[in-house]
Amino acid sequence: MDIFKVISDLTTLPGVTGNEVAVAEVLKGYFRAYTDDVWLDVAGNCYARIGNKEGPTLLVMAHMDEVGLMVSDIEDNGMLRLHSVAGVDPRVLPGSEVTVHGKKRIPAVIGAMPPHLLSAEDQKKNYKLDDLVCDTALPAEEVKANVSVGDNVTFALCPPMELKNGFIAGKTFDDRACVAAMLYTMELLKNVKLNCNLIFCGSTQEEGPNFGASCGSWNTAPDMAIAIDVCHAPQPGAKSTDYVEFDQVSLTVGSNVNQKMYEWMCDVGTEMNINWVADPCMGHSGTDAHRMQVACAGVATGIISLPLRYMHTSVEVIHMDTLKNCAKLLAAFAASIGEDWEEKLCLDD
Amino acid sequence: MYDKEMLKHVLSAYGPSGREETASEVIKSYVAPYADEVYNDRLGNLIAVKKGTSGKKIMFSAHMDQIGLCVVDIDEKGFLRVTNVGGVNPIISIAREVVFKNGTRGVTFFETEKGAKETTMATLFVDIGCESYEEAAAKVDIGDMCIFAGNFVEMGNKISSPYMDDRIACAALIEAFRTMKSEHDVYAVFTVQEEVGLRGAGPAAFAIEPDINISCDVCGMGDIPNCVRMSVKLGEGATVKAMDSSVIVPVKVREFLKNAADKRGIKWQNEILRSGGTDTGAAQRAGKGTFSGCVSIPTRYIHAPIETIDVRDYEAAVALLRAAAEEKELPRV
Repeated sequence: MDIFKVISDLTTLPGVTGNEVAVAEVLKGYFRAYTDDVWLDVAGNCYARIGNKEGPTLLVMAHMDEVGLMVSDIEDNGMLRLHSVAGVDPRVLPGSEVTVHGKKRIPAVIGAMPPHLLSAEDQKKNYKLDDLVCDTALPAEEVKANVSVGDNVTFALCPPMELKNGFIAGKTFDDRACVAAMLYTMELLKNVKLNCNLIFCGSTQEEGPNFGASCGSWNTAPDMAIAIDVCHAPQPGAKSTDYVEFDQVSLTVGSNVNQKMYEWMCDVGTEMNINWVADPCMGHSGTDAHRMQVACAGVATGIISLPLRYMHTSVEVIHMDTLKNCAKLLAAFAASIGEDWEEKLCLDD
Repeated sequence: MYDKEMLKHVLSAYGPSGREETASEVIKSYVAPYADEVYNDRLGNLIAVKKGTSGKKIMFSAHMDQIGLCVVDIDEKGFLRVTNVGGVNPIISIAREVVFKNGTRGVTFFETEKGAKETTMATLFVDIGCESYEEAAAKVDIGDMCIFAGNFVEMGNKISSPYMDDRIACAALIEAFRTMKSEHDVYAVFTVQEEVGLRGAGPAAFAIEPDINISCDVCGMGDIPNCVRMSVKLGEGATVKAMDSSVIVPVKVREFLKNAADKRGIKWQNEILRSGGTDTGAAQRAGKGTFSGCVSIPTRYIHAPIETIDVRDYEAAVALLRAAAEEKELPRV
């Protein structure tokens, strides 16, 4: 399996939070290489099931949605004004190439007042979203004929770049790199007999109201669930407590995680000789596990994270080997689920 | 032409968040004659059902609760201290007439040692005309809630009233429910406690498990002097919501509403509500999840006691709710 190609296919699709349909369609195709048991739900989640249907259910989620924008207003001159759907940092937008997803895809740029025309004081300030315009350079009539308030705007759908030494850079590695990791996990489990009922889910709206995680958990009623998402890697200015090293698989320990699941995942990581590290997070983990944990009558959750630099930009950086290690750990964990799973998760010992 | 007497009655019924019984009774009196079944659930949501034959369920929801003030203390001179029920702006709450459930009237003012602009909930008080703790306590208890009193003001196509949010939508749902003919089971849900965190709609959707929920609420606009940029304008039709802080409406649901409107020549506009959430999101995320969308009535001065709408948008909303109920095909996964 060519993981870089999978990442490239997935990240060049538009899938702003709440409108992940295009990603789900392509993911369905990838899932079908491993199973015919593939389906969608009301939230737009895309699922694939493998393993033993009679066994305990493990739900694995990586979210398909990306941070993005919506057209909020169209000016008389055809300039578009934007609203953040979820997670967009307006400071990284000026000078960006974007795509407007109207009746057709329209290339556009994000413009701002040049420094020459700003007062000395304003030059020191960050642009806010209301200061920026999205410029298609098309005549106003053509804009109005093709674009409506509510249409999505994404970063330009450029394929990722291969940097040196196994690093790659691109848009939407958060979290489609982990969707690719999920597919690589399926590849690793292709010839493995599983005791568990293993459901993979490309989830929706993680960056926003987290609809996918709650809907997905209620629809599959899992016994165990693992969110696979990205975390921060070392980067200029970041404190050591805020990141994990690039070559380490992060295992979250904290309130969104079941302690026994965590310990079990650590044991699997150690047995597999995978370079993993404990990543403490008290409170909201900022992953699908937050909602999965409290769905139905409660779910035993774990979180595996892939270190990433420059989160929520068009140049997110990850390392391919660490991505593979996330998948190896996940596959080994699923394979380790046996008859004794309930005892392993029992908190009264 | 719309039913003005019903509208006035619904707009003026008492029902701050958590105390919706009176409003529920008033609304019930208008929907019951047209419903196969009417009941209140455990939270107080009022649910009117019209049976269909398709085996599918369509839920409509409009919140019947309203923002207000809750008495937290009565001083020795009979002045009341209050806290906000929902999103009440203290500065625009001064110099207002208020009314309690039992009819007790009062007026609000602020501690004049500081300027009006510095008013907070702590420096706002209610004067019910009493001269002692005893006299006040005989009329009003700690925990009682008052609402802003106000008029029904007609200004051409516009109407102003303190509680368009969300009684204008309750009235729209009543009007639509009375006249709609649907193949589907229709659940008109008048929800509680929307203003204090979208509390009522989720449990209602969880119990009903509809194929689709359409909420009806008010939304902001961008057509008054020097306001925050927003594309919605009064008089340009009911809106089809794209998103607000509680929800991103699926494209399928937006298209469903737009097609229903276009087929019948109903005027609509796209809406992105820049801040604030609605029952749409709570219904969407209940249990296994629901297709959920929202039709809004553009409203000026939301959460000020002079909320203003355009009658033409109200009538468009009524028509669009009815149109949605009459569609044979509902959105599918």
